[in-house]
Amino acid sequence: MKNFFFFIFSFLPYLVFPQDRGDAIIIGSIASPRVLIPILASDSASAEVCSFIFNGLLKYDKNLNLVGDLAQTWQTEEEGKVIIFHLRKGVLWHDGKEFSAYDVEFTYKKLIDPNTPTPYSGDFERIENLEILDRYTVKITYKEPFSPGLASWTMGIIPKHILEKEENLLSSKFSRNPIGTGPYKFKKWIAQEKIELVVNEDYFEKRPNIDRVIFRIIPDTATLFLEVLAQGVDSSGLTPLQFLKHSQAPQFKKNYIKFRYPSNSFLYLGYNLNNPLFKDKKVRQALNYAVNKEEIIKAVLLGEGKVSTGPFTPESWAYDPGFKPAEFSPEKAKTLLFEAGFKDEDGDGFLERKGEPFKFTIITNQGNLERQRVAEIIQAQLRNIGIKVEIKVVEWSVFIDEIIRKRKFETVLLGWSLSRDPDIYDIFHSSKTSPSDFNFVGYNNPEVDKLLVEARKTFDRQKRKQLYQRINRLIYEDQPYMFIYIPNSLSCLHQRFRGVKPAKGGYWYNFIDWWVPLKEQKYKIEFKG
Amino acid sequence: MLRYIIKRLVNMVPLLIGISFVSFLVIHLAPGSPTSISLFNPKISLEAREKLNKLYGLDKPVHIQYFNWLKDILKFDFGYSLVDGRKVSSKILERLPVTLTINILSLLVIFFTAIPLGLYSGWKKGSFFDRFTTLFVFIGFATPSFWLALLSMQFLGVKLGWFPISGITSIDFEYFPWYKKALDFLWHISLPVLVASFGSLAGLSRYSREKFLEVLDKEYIRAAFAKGLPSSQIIYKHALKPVFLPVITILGLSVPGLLGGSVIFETIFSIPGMGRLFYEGVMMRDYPLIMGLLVIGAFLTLLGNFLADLAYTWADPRIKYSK
Repeated sequence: MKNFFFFIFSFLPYLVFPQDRGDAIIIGSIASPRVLIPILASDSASAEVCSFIFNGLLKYDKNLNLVGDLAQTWQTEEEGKVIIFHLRKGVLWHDGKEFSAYDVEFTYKKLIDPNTPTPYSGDFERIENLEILDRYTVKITYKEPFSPGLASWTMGIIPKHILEKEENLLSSKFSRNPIGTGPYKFKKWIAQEKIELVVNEDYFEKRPNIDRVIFRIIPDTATLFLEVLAQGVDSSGLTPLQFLKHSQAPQFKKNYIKFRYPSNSFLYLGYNLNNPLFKDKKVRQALNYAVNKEEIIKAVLLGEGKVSTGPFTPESWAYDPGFKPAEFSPEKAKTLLFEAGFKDEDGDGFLERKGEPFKFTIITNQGNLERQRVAEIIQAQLRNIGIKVEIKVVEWSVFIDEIIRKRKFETVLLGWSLSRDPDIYDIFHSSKTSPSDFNFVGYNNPEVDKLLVEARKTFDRQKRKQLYQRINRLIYEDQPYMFIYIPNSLSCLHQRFRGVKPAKGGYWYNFIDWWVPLKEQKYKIEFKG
Repeated sequence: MLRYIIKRLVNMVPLLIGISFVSFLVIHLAPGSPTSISLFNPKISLEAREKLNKLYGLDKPVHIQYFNWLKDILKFDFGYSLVDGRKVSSKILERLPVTLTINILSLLVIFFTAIPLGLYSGWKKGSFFDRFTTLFVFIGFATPSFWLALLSMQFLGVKLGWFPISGITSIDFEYFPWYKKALDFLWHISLPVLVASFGSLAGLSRYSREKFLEVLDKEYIRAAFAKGLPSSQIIYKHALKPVFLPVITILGLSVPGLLGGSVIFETIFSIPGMGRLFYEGVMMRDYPLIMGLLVIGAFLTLLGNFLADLAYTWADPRIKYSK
């Protein structure tokens, strides 16, 4: 009985004040955002800040399913050609005006406006017509059924009444003083230093418990980690070394919890398929057998990654957990290369075909030590089976303009960071090979082409999943890329935050429910929200 | 004298135009373009890219672009950044105070530490103090500043908690009263200033030591000693002046340097300074921003030289500029 009372009393404070309000979270960020307008934000730092200020019509829930955000419900008609969104009523912009269908229309028009420098127009250009049925209902008609279209409506909606007269969004005051519908309002931006957001008391879901969200820009990873140790930041990404070794420091263990998620990016070695050396599928398959990816992961990521088995990452619903990557087998590699005509003709330890030695260059971009190390390991592993590899590191801007766009490469070591929708049409469809397109390896498989188009028209997720899994197997068989690894995304969070519930979709999805007990609150500033 | 000043100032104009033209050419000749970098994303179409090139006038020939730029510059309009669409002048102005403060403070620390150190070890030549300072300043000279920075952050920041680790203000800076703001700022930049100064002690202290020894060896000093003057009087009245004269040269040379910042240093301490601004500008091929910084830098270099030349005439009566 006594225990029972103790139990009741210990919970009493939480019954009266279930969750304390107040405090701030300091998020350490390596890169500074560039522009706080969701339709212009092409970098991840800007997108992260925007996600606190703006809402899309839809959002991803904790299990990465699409659910309504500014849209209460939606329905698709005519086999997916038409989507009708029923918007929430009474949602207010941070300046007090009501959100309505006209804002959705405005956002769409800005997205397809040729004068808007947006990277996201592609998905919206497939829309034939956007119609406002009434103040809270929008009907969107696509030119043909387009299943990735739904996910594109996670795009943050921008306010018509403020931006209507703005000619150039990028240089508008708004881009550094945004007004959205989201859980936090923009307060202050000090260039390269910090961005401060304060709670939106009138947020349509509920008032978030944490009063302020502050992004601190700390461009050096070592400094960022020292700030973590000194508790100067509450949330930060970690390198594998920091995650595994440095986090053993008592200052860290006492105050932080760590998180490990597979990231939604993968590293690959892309072959120039128009190069005679890599025309033969057997050669590419041989190289795939000859490179020990487990060893690369162990050496470069200290084990914090997974061997990539294709263009999808484990948290995507299109991922095929049953599909196993090719094993590491130098013997198989040698056999395949022999079949392709390569053997050591002059006995110097290196392979030749008709007197031509097997050698090629891996090009990767400067400023990414991880990739340079991977290139070095591949170089060493391929030397073991008699292939000469050279490494060239090129500055990013030159890399894209001179190497990728002009196809002046034999192989490139690069990564893709993909959106949650698994549509990979732009990367692997044979129509996407013009200089600025993204199938720069020149991949062309009519069957994959057909399936990619079909997947875009399929709305049933189960069917779409099957299509992507077939695409995945076909691509892996063809090896236009050598799929190397999917790094883990490692991070830490100060332990004073309560209500954090890690799920498949990460741990930020329920941020508005997080709270800090009063006596543990760190940043207590009187302010008006 | 006035004619000389006017002549020098007028001469600066064609020089500046020449510098800006060459810079403009060079950065536009460099491979890569502003629109290729931020747009490497499968969701961006070719049309979007060309649209942007047109929007920024990057589709025109380089000489036309240069004249357009020059026209604006003559109206003191540095243009807009291609990355975030903000005015180049306001981007530079918001970074300037931090860099300037840190550089001036470091310069002061260096002057007020290195010169006394150098003089005293010159005076006590061969003593333990002399040898110790030599070792000390050369350790400073040889230590990579990023390493020293991380080490002092780890020790003074994390372990002892005496100094903040990075940044230039506390989180709640805006809510502080003005005097607390000033203290907070000084507290934040003290570690960067100390680390920056440590590496630069060697040059000036060695220099003043040698110069002092040289002066002490002069006959008029020996004569003064022989005359029986107290050594304090000899030093302060006769020996120090010639040591300080060339300080002007060094000051003149550091005027343009005051505005430059080290990228590595600013990155490690998360200081939003000019070095990082320039570096990011170059990496993103943000032409208007790069040009703005280059022109300001060129102007200040010319100005620094000019001021130093003027200061010579004032400090050393033997130097005179006619016409």
